[in-house]
Amino acid sequence: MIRLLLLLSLAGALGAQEITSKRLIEADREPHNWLTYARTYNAWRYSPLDKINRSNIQRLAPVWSFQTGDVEGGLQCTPLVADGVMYISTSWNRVYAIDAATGRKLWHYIYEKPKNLGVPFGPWNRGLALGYGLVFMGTLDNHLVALDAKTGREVWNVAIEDLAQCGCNITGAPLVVKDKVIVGVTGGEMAHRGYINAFDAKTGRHVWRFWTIPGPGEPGHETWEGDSWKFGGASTWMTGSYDPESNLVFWGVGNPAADFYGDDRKGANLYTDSVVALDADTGKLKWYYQQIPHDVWDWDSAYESVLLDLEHKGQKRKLLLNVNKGGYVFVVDRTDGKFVSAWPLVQNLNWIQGIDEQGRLIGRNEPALGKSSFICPSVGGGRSWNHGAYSPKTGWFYTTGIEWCQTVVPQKEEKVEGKQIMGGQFEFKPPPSGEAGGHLGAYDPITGKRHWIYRSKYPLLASALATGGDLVFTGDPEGEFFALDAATGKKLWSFMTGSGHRGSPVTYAVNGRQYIATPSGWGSALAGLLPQIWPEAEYFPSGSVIFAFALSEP
Amino acid sequence: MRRSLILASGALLWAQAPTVKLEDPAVISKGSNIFGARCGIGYCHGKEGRAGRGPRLAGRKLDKTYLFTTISNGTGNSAMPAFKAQLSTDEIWSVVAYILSLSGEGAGPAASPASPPAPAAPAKPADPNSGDPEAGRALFFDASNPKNCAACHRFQGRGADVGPDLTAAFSRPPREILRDIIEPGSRLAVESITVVTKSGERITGLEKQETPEFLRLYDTSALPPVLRTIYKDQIEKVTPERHSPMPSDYGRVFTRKQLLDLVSFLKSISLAPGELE
Repeated sequence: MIRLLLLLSLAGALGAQEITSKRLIEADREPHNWLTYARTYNAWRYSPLDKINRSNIQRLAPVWSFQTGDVEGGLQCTPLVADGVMYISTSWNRVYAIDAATGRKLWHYIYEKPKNLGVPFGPWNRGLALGYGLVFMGTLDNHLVALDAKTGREVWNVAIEDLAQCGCNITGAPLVVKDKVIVGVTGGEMAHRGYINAFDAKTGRHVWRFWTIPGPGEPGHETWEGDSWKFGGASTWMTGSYDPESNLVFWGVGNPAADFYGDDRKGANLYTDSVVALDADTGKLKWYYQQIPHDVWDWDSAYESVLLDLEHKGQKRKLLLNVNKGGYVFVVDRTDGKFVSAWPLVQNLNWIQGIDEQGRLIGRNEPALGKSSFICPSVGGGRSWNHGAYSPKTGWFYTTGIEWCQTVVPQKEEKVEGKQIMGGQFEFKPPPSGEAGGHLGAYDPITGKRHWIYRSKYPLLASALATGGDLVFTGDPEGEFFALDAATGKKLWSFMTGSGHRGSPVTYAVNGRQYIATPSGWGSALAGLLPQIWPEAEYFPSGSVIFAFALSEP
Repeated sequence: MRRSLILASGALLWAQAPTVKLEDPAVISKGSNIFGARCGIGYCHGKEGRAGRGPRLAGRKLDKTYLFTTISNGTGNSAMPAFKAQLSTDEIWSVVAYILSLSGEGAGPAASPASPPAPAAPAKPADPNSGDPEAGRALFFDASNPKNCAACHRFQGRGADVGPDLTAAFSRPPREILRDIIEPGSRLAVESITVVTKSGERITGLEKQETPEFLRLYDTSALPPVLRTIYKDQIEKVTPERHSPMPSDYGRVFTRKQLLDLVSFLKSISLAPGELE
């Protein structure tokens, strides 16, 4: 292991090799790197690096920090690390390349945004993609850009659709698959029709588009009433996964618009609240699994799709786990999309009574037009988008969850193409019994059996990182970054970074030395909504900094 | 920043005396309804202005002129849109009245929001020999067609900046507009160029910018066009092409009716009925 690391870092010093499709597919063979959004295509957010572990974590100390200066909206990215260089994206689409061992800036790129850009969701960006000597980023005005990884110079830039027209843009990280860059869009609260696009990585030329709402003549179109399909949202605002064996890309699709009022879009509203499996070369639909037919709660399925090969009821299964915003975790067979199991991640959950053996929702509690309904969890989600992690060492899925509720009053709103259409107003409330708060737990991915739970005063809104050192890292809204024992959930270490955590920590190695790096910087739509339950959260300081940690000398 | 706000609002003061009575409960109630549908929704200012992604408005002492200006004109580089095109002056003032009522000093929030009535769709005349501007608009912005006009052209602030902005196209004769759509090469306003790079890549399209360091051009071989930045040290040669960067097959991909629809849409700003005939 150590020899391999040394060899690889030597290769890095001699000049980084281009990141090819092969390297991305075999990313797990490069423990010192974090080459894609979730490190590996299976979305595990797990690194086998184990030099930092339970026995020595007390010696984990900060070694550098990198201030971006763009504090609006916080820092929400997943840093990528390739052969000793870290790449990060910040609010307003700025990109920095940083020496991953020293924190020194190598180059920066400032996206030339249109003047007086009206940003529909917020100025943040959640990550980049690497490949073929290029760095890819989606932008606030719905462009996709490619930069030279060595210099930060723009190589190509393509406008996908005018923001003024669709009300949609890109905050999620693209995914490089083979010779293409695949990217989704925001817009679940906008009167528009969602899609996923693939572009040629080298030239930027458009290759395929998958509409997440079927058009006239396409199967599933009948699940929309009248012309509601044109304005049905179905955004694709997070990053998908890829299975090289089946050549399928798995992407989560968001809620139908309007969020809380669905009487004028009667039907199941495909492919909202679904995971779609697409042929990576053509974008053709292989299968879909819809978790929430005819959603009236804003329960996106847009979060990560974790790919797991596990034994279930005596059979080896190829599975896909997806956390729904409504607080249920769904597991399906990723070869055909058939339902396997669903389990609740949170205690406070009243929008349904349960889910049956076939995956059907039982006892829907739909808010009625013009009336105030008390719904748990809140529209902030039983979990926010911040990702879970899977450790093959324990076989457990580590994810946060949030205990909170809301009142919601659905209302009928005028549909204007590209304009916001929520179909109601909500206000966050504490649960009727017990306190509002967050937690990070360790779960059996198929049954949801909980092995431990770590509770926090405020919702945990940063992603989890699992390591070969049997550690799970995440951070909280007050700025504490901490490590838990992956086996017991016991808190082993913490460090106050000074601003809340809303991004995704990573680990990597340079010259054989393991680092843990985390974005710190409070912000986001949800951060702005927390004061509805916790008034003091209005004064949580924003920030935008990368902290890197390593073991101090004994 | 503070100074510029004051200056801006000062300069506009003459036009901004409230047009409604800000303390009138009926006005506050009307403002509450508009706020509920437009401002309190989603991730914006929150129910009754209590909190959201946008700033909290409840319990704050806010200046009425500042509120009116911000609601009317929006805030640049933020999620706050300009409402002056969507709301009348009276409506904006009633929203101001409602927000002022949330300060905690006057009366509390008024009645809960009601659903705004859905506008009735206007009936369209069906004449097979004339273009339908609404159908033309739909075609112009049809995102499901990769070759939609808005992939390259802007119209009234929407679309892309690759080709000319077509908002002012109405001033030209309809036949000329039609010819430019179906035979873009007939009036060669702009020629394509081809850049061959030292790595052997050929990129044909529309030049956007040239500096001493680099050349930027829109690769129009696939739509939407891709803006490429090629540094001079990577360029082998640049050659002009004798054709327009605009696709030349719209006369085949669009029907006669669709072309008429497009022309009447582009002319619709000042189009008199029957002008195309």
